[in-house]
Amino acid sequence: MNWTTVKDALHAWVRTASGLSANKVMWGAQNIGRGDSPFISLRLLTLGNGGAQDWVDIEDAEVPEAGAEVTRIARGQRTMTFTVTCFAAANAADASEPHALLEGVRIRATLPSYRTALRAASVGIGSFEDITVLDGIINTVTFEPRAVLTCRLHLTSEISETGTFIESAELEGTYT
Amino acid sequence: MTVHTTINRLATGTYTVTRYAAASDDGFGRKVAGATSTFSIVACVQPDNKGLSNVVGPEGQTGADIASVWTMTELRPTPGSQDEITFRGEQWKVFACELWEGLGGTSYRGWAARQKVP
Repeated sequence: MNWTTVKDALHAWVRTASGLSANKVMWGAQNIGRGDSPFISLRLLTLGNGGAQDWVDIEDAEVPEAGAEVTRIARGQRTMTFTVTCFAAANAADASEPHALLEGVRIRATLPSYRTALRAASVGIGSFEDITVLDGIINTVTFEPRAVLTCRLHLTSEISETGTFIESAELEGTYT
Repeated sequence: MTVHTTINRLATGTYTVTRYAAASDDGFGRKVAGATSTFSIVACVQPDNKGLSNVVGPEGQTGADIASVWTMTELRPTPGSQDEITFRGEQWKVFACELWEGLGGTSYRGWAARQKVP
């Protein structure tokens, strides 16, 4: 799994769907100061296999060598929880309130252009949970509206190694 | 006697401060640290809690060491771009700074947290 490709695709989706500039949509847990509102924080929370089993495919090596005639590829399906948290100014216009921005992110994920871009990064949109509206206080005395969007993504995981196989077997015995 | 004279007389040394320019991003939500610059300050650095301490947690042992830094140079606790002070050969990050005016000058009291596992 190429995490850079996955994260870039997720960031592009949220950035373009929310209408915010690139520096207003940041991954969390980076030890950065919060930006001016509105801004969005992205987090990847859980990573599971959705109850499915991983498996191994065996293919001929592209360039076979002695002892490395085949390639064993471990593959598995993954589901990931992705959260999008939006922070906005207290006097934001209706269309710029956090839940409105996140609704824009959610509904646009249905459009073919967005799905195609995510699919190119091997990211599939699964399901969305309800947008949760939260309240917060910043700078001690200022109310700040916030909202959280949580969705489940479908990803694939793959890794490979070379190996060999038994080419022939010979049975020896005594016949009487 | 001004506060500057007092700090100079009670100073524990001259320390190197690393300051970060404002961070940017890579266009995909990842922080890009700002450029650094260094300068020296005369300061009195003293422990603010129990001195060097050891905290045992699931992730291993870490430190919870805080020091007070009295100086004539403003220190910046800007989130994500905090000033870093080299003290006792180790890195300490500034997380707070008070401005004091009067007593014949302007001085600052900063607080820094040790960044190395003891």
